[in-house]
Amino acid sequence: MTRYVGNRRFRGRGWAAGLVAVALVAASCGGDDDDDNAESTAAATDTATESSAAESASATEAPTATDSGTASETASAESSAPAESTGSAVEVDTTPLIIARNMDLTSLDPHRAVCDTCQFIFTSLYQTLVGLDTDNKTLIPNLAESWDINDDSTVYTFHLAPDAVFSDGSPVESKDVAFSLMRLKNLKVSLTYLVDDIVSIDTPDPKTAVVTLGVSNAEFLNNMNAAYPVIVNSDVAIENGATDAEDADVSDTAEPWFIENSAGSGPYVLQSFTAGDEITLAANPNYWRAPAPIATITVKQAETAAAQAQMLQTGDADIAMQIDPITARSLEGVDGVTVESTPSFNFLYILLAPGITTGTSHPLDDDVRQAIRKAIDYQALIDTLLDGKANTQATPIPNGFPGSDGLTMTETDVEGAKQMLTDAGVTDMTLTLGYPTINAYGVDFGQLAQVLQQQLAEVGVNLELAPDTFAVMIDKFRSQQYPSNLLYWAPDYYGSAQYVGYFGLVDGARAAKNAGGSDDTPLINQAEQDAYDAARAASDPGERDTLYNTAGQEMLKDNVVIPLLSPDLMLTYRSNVQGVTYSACCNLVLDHLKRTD
Amino acid sequence: MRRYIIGRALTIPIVLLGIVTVAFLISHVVPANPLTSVLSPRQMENPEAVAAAEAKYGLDKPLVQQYFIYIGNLLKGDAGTSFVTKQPVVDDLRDRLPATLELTIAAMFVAVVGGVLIGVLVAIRHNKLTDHAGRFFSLLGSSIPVYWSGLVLLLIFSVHLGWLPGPGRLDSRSVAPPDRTGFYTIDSLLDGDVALFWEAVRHLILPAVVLGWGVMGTVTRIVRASMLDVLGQDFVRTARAKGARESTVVFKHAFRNAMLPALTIVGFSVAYLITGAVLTESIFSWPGIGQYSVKAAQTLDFPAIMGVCLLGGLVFLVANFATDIGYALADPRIRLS
Repeated sequence: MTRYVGNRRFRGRGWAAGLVAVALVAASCGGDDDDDNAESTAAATDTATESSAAESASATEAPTATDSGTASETASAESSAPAESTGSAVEVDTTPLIIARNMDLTSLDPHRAVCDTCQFIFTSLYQTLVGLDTDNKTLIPNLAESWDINDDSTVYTFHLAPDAVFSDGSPVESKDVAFSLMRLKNLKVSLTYLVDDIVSIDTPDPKTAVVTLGVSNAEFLNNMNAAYPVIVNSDVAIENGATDAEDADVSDTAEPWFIENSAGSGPYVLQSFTAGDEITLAANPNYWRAPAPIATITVKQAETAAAQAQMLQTGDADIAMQIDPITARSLEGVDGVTVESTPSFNFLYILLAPGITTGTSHPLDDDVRQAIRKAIDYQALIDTLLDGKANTQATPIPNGFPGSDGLTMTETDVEGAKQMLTDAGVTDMTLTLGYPTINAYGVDFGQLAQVLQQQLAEVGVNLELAPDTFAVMIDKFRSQQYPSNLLYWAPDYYGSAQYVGYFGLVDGARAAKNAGGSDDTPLINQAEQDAYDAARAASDPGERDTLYNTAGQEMLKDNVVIPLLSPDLMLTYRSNVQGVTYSACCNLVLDHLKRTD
Repeated sequence: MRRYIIGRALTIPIVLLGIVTVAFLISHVVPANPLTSVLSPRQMENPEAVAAAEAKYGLDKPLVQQYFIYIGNLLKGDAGTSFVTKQPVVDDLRDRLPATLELTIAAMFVAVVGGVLIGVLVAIRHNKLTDHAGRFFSLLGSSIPVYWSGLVLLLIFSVHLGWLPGPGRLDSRSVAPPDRTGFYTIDSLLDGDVALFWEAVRHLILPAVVLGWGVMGTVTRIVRASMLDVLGQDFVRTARAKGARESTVVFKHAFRNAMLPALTIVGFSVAYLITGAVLTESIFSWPGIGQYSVKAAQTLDFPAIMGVCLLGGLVFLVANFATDIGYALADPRIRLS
C-alpha cells in the first residue's frame, strides 16, 4: 500500500492538553485573546539568516550588474524558459519524493522568512518575475515573459506572461506584482534590500508593471531572481491580513495564514507544514506550465548528516541535501545511491575589525591583518575540514560571479607573516575570535576555530575562542563585541552587488560598520566606494564586471573580510532520481526532479 | 496516607513557581537581545518596528511587571507565543509531547524490564561469567553517549542488516494514523491498522533501546546490589533451609524485597528520559520535546524555553511525587515517619 504523509498537526488531544495545562497550573483554558499569531515580524533567527541577509544600509546601496538588460536579450533567453503548459500529456509520478534535510524553515511567508530551505520551497510555491538558467548565470523569463530597461537603469518595465495564473486559477496581474514588491519593501525585513530602490510601481494594464527606482541599479533584474521578491496573489493575501502599506512592518498580519496556506503561481502548492518536522508540497493543479513530474514532495527533518545518509541508504529518502564530504565517503559505492560534488557559491570567512580595540592585545592595523591573512593555510583548512572538497576564494565575490576573474588568492607565507608582525612590533598577540556553534555547509565552526587557532599560534597570534549560539553570536557581531568573527554566507541571487554592499568598506555595509568599530563610525575605502557606485550604475555588463573587479581588488587590500574556503556542495540522491542540481537562486529546483522508474 | 499525599501534592505548585521564577530571571539576564529572534536585522534598525515588537511581547515594561504578567497569563493557561513557530507554546508542547512520551515509555520499558532481568540474573550468578558479562553490558549502557550508540546501532541494524527501520516515527512515505492520542502505536490500533502498528513499533525499537540503555545499566547495578544484599539476609537463608525452591526464594522472597531501591531510580529515570531525550530525538529525527527545546535554545525563543523548563520541572516533580507515593505504599514506615 502506498501512503503519503498528510497533515498531522495534533489537535483535540485532551489528555495531552490536560498535562500541559497542569504544567501551567491552568484552572481553565480561557487564555487571553491577544493577537499573538498576528505577529508582523520576521523569523530572523535561523542559521541561514546571517548568511543570506544583507543589512539594511548595504541593501539600500544595493545592486548593479545584470546579465540581460534589454528586451532583445530577453527574447534570446526564452528558449531556456520552462515549457508552456501542455495540459495532461505529461505522466505524473504519484509516489511521494522524500527529501531529508535539517530544516531552518520557521515561516512560510515568502516576504518575511530568510533561510536556505526557504529558497527552494518559496520558488516552488511562488514564482519570481525573472528566472535563472541552469548555467547559474543567465537570466531567463519567468512570470515576466519580457522586460524593458531604460538607459540609466531606473525604470524596469515587466511584461507578464499572458497565461500565467495562480493556483486558484485567477490570472497573475500587474497589481499582484506591485503589491508583492511593495509589501517586501515595506515589511522592512532583511531581504527588503532587494527592492529598496523602488520608489513606485505603475500598472498601466493588467499585464504590464512599470517599476521605477530612485537610483540607478543595473543589477535590479538580478535581484528579481532571488527567492524572496516572489509574486503572491494579492487578493487572497489582502483578504488574510497582508498589506503593502508603508507601515506594513507593524500592520501586516498575514504571516500565520501563510504558514498554513500558499497563494502563488508556482508548480506546487502547500499541503501541510509542521515546524521542525516536515513540509509537504502537492503539485499545483492549475499550474500554467507543464505540470511538475512528481505529484508530492515531502521535506523531512533530519538533523544530522548521518541521519540523512542513513535515510538515503535505506530508501527512506530520495535526496539527502546536507551531506558533508566526510559523510559522503560512506555513501560512495552504495548500490542505488549517487554521490556527486559541485562547487558552490557559499563561503566561510573571518572578519577582522580594526576599529574594535577590545578583545585584542594589539590593534588590528593593516600590517597585522595582512600578516594574519598570510599566516592562514587555506588548503590545510580544506583538507582537514572537508576532505579536500572545497575551493579557495580570494575575496567575498564568489568564484564565477561578475568581477571575480583575476582576483588572486593570497599565498600562505608563515615566515613572511612572522616578519610582518615583528616589523609591526607585535609579539605574543592575543585576539578574541567569536563564532557560532553551528555546522554550516559541512564545516563545524568549533573545529574551524581550533584549526585557525593552531595555525595562527605559529606566528604568535593567540586566538581566544569565544563560541556562542548562533543568535547570541549574531547579536554580538552586530554590536561589535569581538574584533574577529567567523561566519558564512550564501548568495541571494546571481550578482556581485550583494557582496560589495555587505562585505566591502562602502557606505552602509556591515563590514564597514564593524571595521570602524561602531555603526556610526564606518570605515570607508573611497576607491572601493567609487567602483561600487559606478558598477551599480553601469548598464554595460562588461564595464560592470570591470568595476566589480576593481572593487574586489580593493577588498583584497582591505584584509577585513577574508574568505577561508568555499565548500563544495555534495549532491547525494537515489540513482533513479534525475534533475538534482545546485541553483544559485533556488538551491534545488523541485519541478526539475523526476524518477526514472 | 491521604494526608501524606495531599501534603506532598501541595508542594508541587510552590516548587513550580520557584522553577518559573528562576527560569524567567535566567532567560532575562542572558547577554542577548531576545528581539533578534523576532525581528530581522533590518527591522532591528527601525525604532518603530522595535517599539512595536517590544510592546507586543511586553518587553517595554519593567522586568518585575513582565514577570507578574507572565505568571498571570500562566494561571490562565497561556505560556506565550513562540517567537519561532508563531504558535502558542502550549499548543507546541501539546503537539510534541505525545512523540516524546511514546518514546520515553518504550525506553522505560526497555530499561526496567531489561535492567531488572539482567540485575536478577547477574545477582544469582554472582561472580560467574554471566555476572561479569551483565555488569559489562550495563557499564556500556551507562558509559556510551547516545549520539554514538544511536548512530552505530542505526548503522548496524538499519543500514547494514536492514532488520529495523531508520529515523522517524514511521516510514517516510507512510501517513500517520488518525489523531486520537498522538501515540502512533495506540492510534494505529484504534484505527484497526495492524500493519501500521507494527511499523510504529519497529520504529520505536532502536531509539528506545538507545535511550533506555543508560538507565538500564543503572537499574541493573542497583537491582544486582540490592538482590545480593537481600539474598544474604537471614529470611532468605531460612526460606532455603525450609526447602523452598530456588525460583521461589529468588522471585517470591528476595526479589520483592530488593525492589525498593530500584523503585527510586525508576521514578527519577522517567523524568530523566523525558528531559534527556534531546540527543536521541535529534539522531532519530523524532519530532518531540527534545528537538523543540534544542531549536528554542538555538534561536533564543524565550517563551518556548520557558515552556520547556516548566514542563521539564513538572515532569520531575510528578515523578518525584509518584516515587514517594510508591515508597509509602511499599514501605509503611515511610508514611508513618
